[in-house]
Amino acid sequence: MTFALLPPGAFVINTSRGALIDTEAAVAAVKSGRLGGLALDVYEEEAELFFEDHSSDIIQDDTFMRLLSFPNVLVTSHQAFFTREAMQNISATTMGNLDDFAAGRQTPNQVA
Amino acid sequence: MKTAVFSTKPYDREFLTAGNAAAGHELVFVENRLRLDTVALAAGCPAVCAFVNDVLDGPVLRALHAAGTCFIAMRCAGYNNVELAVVRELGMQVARVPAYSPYAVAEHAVALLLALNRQVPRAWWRVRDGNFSIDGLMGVDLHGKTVGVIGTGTIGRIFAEIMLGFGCRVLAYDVRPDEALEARGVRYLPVEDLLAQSLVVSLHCRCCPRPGTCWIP
Repeated sequence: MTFALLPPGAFVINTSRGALIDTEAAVAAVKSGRLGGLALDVYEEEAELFFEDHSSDIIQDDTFMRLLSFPNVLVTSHQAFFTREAMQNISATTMGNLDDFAAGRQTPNQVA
Repeated sequence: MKTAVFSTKPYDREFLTAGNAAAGHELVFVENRLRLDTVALAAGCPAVCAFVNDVLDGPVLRALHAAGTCFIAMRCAGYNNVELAVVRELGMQVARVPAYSPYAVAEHAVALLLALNRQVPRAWWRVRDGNFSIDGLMGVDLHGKTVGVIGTGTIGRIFAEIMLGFGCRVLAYDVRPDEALEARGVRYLPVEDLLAQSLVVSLHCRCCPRPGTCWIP
């Protein structure tokens, strides 16, 4: 199960979790010309980068910067969830969770 | 209930304030990420609302607990950043938002695929620069091509349905095949076979096949 199993020119899309893809292997697959394109909305080491403006910083993550240098790699900053409907649902569920806790009720969304 | 909302962006403030209109909680918006050095900003708040990159490890949880916090409301589905053993030890509680919009994520995956295949960002930069050449921007028809979907939970199923609508042949891998998708012509295969046959692979699974491994290593 490697990038090498994919047909030449294949496109890989990841909007799930960064750790699902080995970034070094992805760089090698793009660099070799084997992968047709790679689009990521999530990245293994995104916590230090995503959601913030780093446009005036010297970014230290060389693997990530190498990915950004390819013409057939497209990266967005963990925005797949970001629609008006999703934000309304996140807000409504969070308020429901706070209501449940304040009232001493079990919330169905409790994880611990 | 007085709640410190960490990692607040303008959009969080807008939607949480609107959602709170009926609930009437006292929301204290904090722009900082929650970490040991910002935990004091939650002092006196019985609840804390946190997001994906906030730190909720043992030291932070103990500091929160010592300052009177007993409830963590994660405003996301994931909670891998919360040290649950410490939560239980301290008698705190954690809730999350298990689902918000599967369409949002599936549709963004389609947006990325189309933008990548037809090189929309590069095309836009060229046109902005007065360069109207299309050399190097050629894509492929997605119609008739094979698309592999790894993980067919709610998001993966919606992505697969959109790809069926594009006229693609859709392959899937999941530990639990979706019979409704199979009935619509989606074929479930071992992941190696799926990779070997798919021109497009989209990942929609929540975890790796085994700890420390990747779907596409």
